[in-house]
Amino acid sequence: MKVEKLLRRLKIEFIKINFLQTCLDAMIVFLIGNLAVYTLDLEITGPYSNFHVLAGFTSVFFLFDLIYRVRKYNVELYEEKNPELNEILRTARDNIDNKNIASQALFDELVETAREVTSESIIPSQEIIKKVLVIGALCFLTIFSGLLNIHIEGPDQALFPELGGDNEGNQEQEIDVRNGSQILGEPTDIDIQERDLQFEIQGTGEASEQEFSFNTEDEEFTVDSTMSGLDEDRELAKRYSDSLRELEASE
Amino acid sequence: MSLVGTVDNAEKYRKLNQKIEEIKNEIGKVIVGQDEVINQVIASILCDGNILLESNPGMGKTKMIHTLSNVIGLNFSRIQATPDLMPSDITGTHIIEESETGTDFVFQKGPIFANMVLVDEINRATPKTQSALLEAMQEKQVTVGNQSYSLDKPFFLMATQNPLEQEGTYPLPEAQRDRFMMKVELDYPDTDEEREIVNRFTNELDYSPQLNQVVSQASVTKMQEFTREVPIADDIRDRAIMIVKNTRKDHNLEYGASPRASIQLIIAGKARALVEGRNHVSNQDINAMAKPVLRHRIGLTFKAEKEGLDSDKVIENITNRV
Repeated sequence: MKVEKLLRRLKIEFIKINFLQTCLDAMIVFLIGNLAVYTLDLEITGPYSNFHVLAGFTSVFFLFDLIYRVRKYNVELYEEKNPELNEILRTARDNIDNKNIASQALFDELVETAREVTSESIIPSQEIIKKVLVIGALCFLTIFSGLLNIHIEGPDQALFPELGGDNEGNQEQEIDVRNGSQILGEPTDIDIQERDLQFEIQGTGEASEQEFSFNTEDEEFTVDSTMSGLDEDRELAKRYSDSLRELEASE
Repeated sequence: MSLVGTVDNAEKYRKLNQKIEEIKNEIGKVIVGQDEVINQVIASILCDGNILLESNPGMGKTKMIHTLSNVIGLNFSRIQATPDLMPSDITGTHIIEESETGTDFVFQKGPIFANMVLVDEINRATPKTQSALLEAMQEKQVTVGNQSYSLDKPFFLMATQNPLEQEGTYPLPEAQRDRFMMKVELDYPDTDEEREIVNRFTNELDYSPQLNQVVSQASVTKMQEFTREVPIADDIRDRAIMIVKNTRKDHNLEYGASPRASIQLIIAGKARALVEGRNHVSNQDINAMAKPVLRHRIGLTFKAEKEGLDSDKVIENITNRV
């Protein structure tokens, strides 16, 4: 029926307008997020990159915003903007199943009157212009901050640490390794050729137990390696060290 | 739906509006002004409802109803209510009729057996006589003895009452007032209208212009069916119901309107839309019909009366609020 088509057309036009609005909103959200992440030097940790996380968040925002806007649809919006349709659209919508003469006459009049009605009447032009300007400004700021490499000192913390799952442990491990290398410096080869390893342990404190009585005396003792595999290890270390030297020499 | 079908629908609707406009024009040949009252009376006929007309004497109530009955081709009868009027004077009675075969009781129909019945000064009739009208108004039939007689369709009862002389009258009980779809109040004409009335009725001995019958009895019944089909939006219907519901909890009112009032307010709105040439019920129709439909169904509190409020003001406040 014509009037059903008309009502469907009006709804589709409303959805189209709100789709456009939602796209603009989503772009603003993405650009603001992107700018914030860049200028504050925030790092989104985990298996996803900053771009992926922002894109995902924007998509979710887009979806919910679109659903929210579409659910707000009612024909009263058209009636507000088109006084000639006031009460007629609502009446036609509520009596769409009626086949009697009066209802059909109403539908005919509605189709005739609504011919001039387009989605333009419900387009919030000013709002859209404002949003486009905001998007333009955000794009400019993004380019500007990129060119001048603007970074604002922000909190030294990663965004969305929970995205990484057990990455917290890995991070600590990494820090430990770095600290260890800083403390110990570059590793150097030791000469172990024909040398005995000597350990000197000096005991301090009071003698309290018999089995540790030897600690109480300040004496030197030597521990000889008696491990069966030590000679092999020494040999392996020697070969490794020689190979490294050859490699350095060849460079 | 074919194009021909839709054209037919629109055409039928336009013709109906034209007929209503013609009825108004014909009435206008006799009655000067009172457009709103005429619209309300026509709306009441379209709704198949009864009317209680209230005005001071000499306002042309009888003339209006008589003219209307001529224009819409309905039988008209008039009953002057007095304290000694008996129910049988209205409904009719059994009389002995002598014939060749013998004597037999035959029912002699009373003045109620007409399409349009005007009961003048109904509040002068005793409650017993007033209640004789109840069945006719509601059931469209009268019972005499143990036999019921159906009234001709369409049937309208229009009762008048004078708001000034209350002495020796029997105010209509609430149950009977509720049977009237509308209470229409006639106001005095303005100067120009009164001048025109004087000119019309003083230049000729018997001013009776040629009136054309616009519709037939059958057409009136079809128009009544059609009225019920006028579409109404859900929110407008709900608003009408809320207006009636609000009369039940307004602090200025002793009692509010019944659910029958909700039904009649919506039907009256449909009829007004038709009279106004609109193919859907508007909030304006509900607002315009709220007073005539509700004013006789509500009772003001003593405090409200003391404060100078009347039914119309209270209804207006409610319609503005809802």
